[in-house]
Amino acid sequence: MTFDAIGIAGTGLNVHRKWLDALSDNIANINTATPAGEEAFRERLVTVQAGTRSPGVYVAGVVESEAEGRLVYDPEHPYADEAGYVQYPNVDLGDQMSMLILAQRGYEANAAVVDRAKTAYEAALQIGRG
Amino acid sequence: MSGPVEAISPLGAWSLTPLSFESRVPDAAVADAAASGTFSSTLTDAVENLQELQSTSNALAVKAVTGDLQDIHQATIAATRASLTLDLVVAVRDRSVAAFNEIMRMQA
Amino acid sequence: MLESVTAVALSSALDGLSLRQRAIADNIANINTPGYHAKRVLFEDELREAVARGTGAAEAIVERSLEPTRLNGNNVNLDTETLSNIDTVLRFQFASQAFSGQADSIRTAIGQASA
Repeated sequence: MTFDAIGIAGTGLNVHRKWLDALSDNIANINTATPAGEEAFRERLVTVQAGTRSPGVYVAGVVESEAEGRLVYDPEHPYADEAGYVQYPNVDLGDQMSMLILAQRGYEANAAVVDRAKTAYEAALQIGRG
Repeated sequence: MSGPVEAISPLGAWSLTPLSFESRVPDAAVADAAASGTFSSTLTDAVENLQELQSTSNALAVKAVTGDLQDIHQATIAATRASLTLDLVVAVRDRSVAAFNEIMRMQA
Repeated sequence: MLESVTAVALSSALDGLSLRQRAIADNIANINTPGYHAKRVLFEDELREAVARGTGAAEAIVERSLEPTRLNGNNVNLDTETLSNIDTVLRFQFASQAFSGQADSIRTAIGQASA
């Protein structure tokens, strides 16, 4: 777009929003139990990369963590196996919450860039007007 | 009337050195319009460059509007330059015409 | 008067940008409508070619975005629309200033004071 800084900040907003989406997905599924032998919910991770041909940041992909689910001893649980273990996602709530704050701050920072750039461009439009 | 007076050569009165502000130094460093400083050169530059300034301003305006210009201030600065130069040229034209009419009236 | 390539191009741009403003408002209003695909207004490429050809007149076209949708079939991205709105407003302001500037230049040459 003509107003470059706004477009670049836009890519930042997009990336941080995707991150927020992934984090909320992880947090929503933090207590999703699965039977011991099956696939557990895997933490969603957003991989990003700086733009090469054009400035900004872009989402390279959303991948799932390699970490296996953690087993919790709970024989009363409907999903418990013979040994009494149920599988829970290997997602740490503390980590997710601190990343949530980072994602929110990052989003706000990019929104501030948009705001400042808009003010600067408005000043540029005033050049030469008596 | 004391002592001999040295004769002034007949052409002495005309061999005046040009005043510094009237000379045009064709040096690249002072060829810049801002540095040359003489009023006549500013005027001639203005008239010659008006066409170019206007077409630059127009080209940048179209570029800005099709999303191809990264720095919008380039377009607004170019527009300001062209507009001021036009004002200058038109003012000179108007004053010249008024001065000419004034002179014609004096002779009438 | 005001038939130069630049003036016609600026006028076409104002048309296109104004159409884009309406499309953005439509998109934002329909941000939660199931199955709604964002409208996109395209005129820049057409305008660039028209200026290169020497006419400057370009018609804007409206298309639907083919970006991936959310679960309800809606693909309107609020960030994209907000930023596009800012860009459009600033460009519209510039284009109308530039167009007025064309008219002012003609007035100066004729010999009247500019508005």
